[in-house]
Amino acid sequence: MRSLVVQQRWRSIQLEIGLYPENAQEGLLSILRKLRAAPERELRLLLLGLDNAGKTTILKTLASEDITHVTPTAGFNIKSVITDGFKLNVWDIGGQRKIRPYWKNYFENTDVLIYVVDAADKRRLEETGIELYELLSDDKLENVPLLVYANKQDLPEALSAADLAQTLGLPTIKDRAWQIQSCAASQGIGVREGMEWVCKSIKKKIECKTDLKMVFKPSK
Amino acid sequence: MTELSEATFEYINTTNVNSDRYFSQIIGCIEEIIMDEEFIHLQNTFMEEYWTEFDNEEENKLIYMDIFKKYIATVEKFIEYRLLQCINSFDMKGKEKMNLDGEIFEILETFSDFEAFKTMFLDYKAMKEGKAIDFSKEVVISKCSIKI
Repeated sequence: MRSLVVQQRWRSIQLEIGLYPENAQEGLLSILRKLRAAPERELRLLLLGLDNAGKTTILKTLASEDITHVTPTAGFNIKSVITDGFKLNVWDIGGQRKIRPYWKNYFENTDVLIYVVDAADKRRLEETGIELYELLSDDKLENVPLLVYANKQDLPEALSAADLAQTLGLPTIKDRAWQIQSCAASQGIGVREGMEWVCKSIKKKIECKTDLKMVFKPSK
Repeated sequence: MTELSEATFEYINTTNVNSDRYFSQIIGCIEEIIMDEEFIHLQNTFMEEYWTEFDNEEENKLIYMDIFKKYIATVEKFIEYRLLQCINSFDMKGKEKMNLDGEIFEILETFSDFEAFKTMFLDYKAMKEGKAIDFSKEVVISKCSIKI
């Protein structure tokens, strides 16, 4: 059974290489990687943002885990979550200043970038904006859809999602799909809604790919 | 549009047969390579060098990613080198692999899946720590002052 499934995947890899010959140059192991699981249904999500933005709390919320003992992340955390027919592999990387240079080690093969902002931390809005735009200008994250969580909406001084979007200049982003989602991760509010958008934006991408395959499907 | 599609149908139909044979050649070769002593030695040497960096904690240290990338580079280079040799000397009779189940996939997982890679290292660490007795816990150093 497994043989059959793997062979089918091999065929779709061949198709892909036929349609996009430049992909034939990719390394052996990255091709083998595609044989593993249903690659179009397994997504890699990258959670970034300044320290104390709420990334790990969001990660644990997605994994339905206890969030009461979250401490600053010195390295990185990974959780796999099955939702809406997708397997989401979520990578949460520490946001302290000294860790940010390591972020680029995690860019490769990212399907969606999730950027978390503490909407109540007005003092560091400029800093988070700068980090975000540095990410968006990286080649390895080209075309990767962006979800921004405007977190800590439970705090009175928090900027609304709309105001935060303006402040960060999100409407000027033209090179990728993006969405802003308000949330209060510590209260379990708004996190799921953000992920619904993530799955929707990926489904569109998959449909597009499937349509291409249907055009080239041999008739019986 | 229809004409273009028909031409592509032909391409796909002919490549299917060759593609399948090619595919089973490759999988057969890879299986031989990763079951081979030389590869196992390569993996063990690698793990011997880095196993002490790994802790059995949920949070991952930044260095794990560096080690993972180095592992992939090392393994990929080795497999690609050996694969070329294997394909060039391919003997049609014995080596076609249609059975793709088994250990090969577990090992292949470590080449692309970080968690499988980490588990591999933690297993190695557990093995090393089971064998080694930590004598540092048997020795106590304390100050001794003698009044003369």
